Amino acid sequence: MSSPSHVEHEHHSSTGLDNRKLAVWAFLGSETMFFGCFILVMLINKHNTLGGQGQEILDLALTSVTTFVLLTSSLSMVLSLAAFRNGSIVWGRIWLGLVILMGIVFLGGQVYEFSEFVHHGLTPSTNLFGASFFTLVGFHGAHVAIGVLWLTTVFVYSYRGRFKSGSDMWGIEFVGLYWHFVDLVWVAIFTLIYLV
Amino acid sequence: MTAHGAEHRHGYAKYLVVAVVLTVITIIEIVIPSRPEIRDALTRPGVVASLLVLSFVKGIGVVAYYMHLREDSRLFTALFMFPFIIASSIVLILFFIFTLSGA
Repeated sequence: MSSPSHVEHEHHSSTGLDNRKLAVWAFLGSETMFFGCFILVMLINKHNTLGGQGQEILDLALTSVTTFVLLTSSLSMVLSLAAFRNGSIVWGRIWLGLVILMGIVFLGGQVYEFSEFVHHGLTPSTNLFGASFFTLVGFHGAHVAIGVLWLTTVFVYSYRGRFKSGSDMWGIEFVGLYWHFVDLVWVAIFTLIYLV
Repeated sequence: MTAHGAEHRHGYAKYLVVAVVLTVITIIEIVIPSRPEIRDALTRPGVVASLLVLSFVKGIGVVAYYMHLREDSRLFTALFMFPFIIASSIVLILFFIFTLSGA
């Protein structure tokens, strides 16, 4: 009798591709539209400050550090997947743990940045710049937080016999795709909002 | 060393190379608007264009190598790039409409 996991491996589709992977890529495509809208609104409202705080409040030094952290977490994520595929479960968990840690550090940086902005008089209700900024970066932060939770779940699953050599790695692969996408969105936000 | 092991060792090196490239590009992106001499030499349109190109290259690196789109089915590429092109086009068109109309 086939085990449920073995039945999963034999799942056939008309495209010959894994339907779960198709769903994840379709989801990421929809997320592109989602963030595209918020980025557009942010670009339009970049100078709508009503004389209040605007782009000058952005801390490029802090954001550069958090950007490097997120970028490095993407490297750690892909190394984790490679390690699990290679049968190196210990290293897979180590890299995965580092991704979680760096995600938390990034979120900490975001929380600090938001609190500093509020302290200096920029809130979502201050002006359109504030509303747009907090909405865009806030939603991105929420995605990072969800990613951290998802990664933690996968990390725990790795201790329950999942992701052994030769088994289906889709659990790690899909959270990896999500995490890289979150990094990708930050690349766009960092460039268009903080640098330009 | 088996062929399988060699392939994965090669995979690790590839990701590290991509990471170094992404880091260098990010440093360049930070330096360009931060240094007055570079900013003045490029002028604002040049700064914006260079930052957009650099971030696009970074995006390609992440999607192609970290997300393995380069090695995967073209259908996945289409599923992602189609909405990306739509979103980017809408952002660009509406941005120029709003900025040119003075809204």
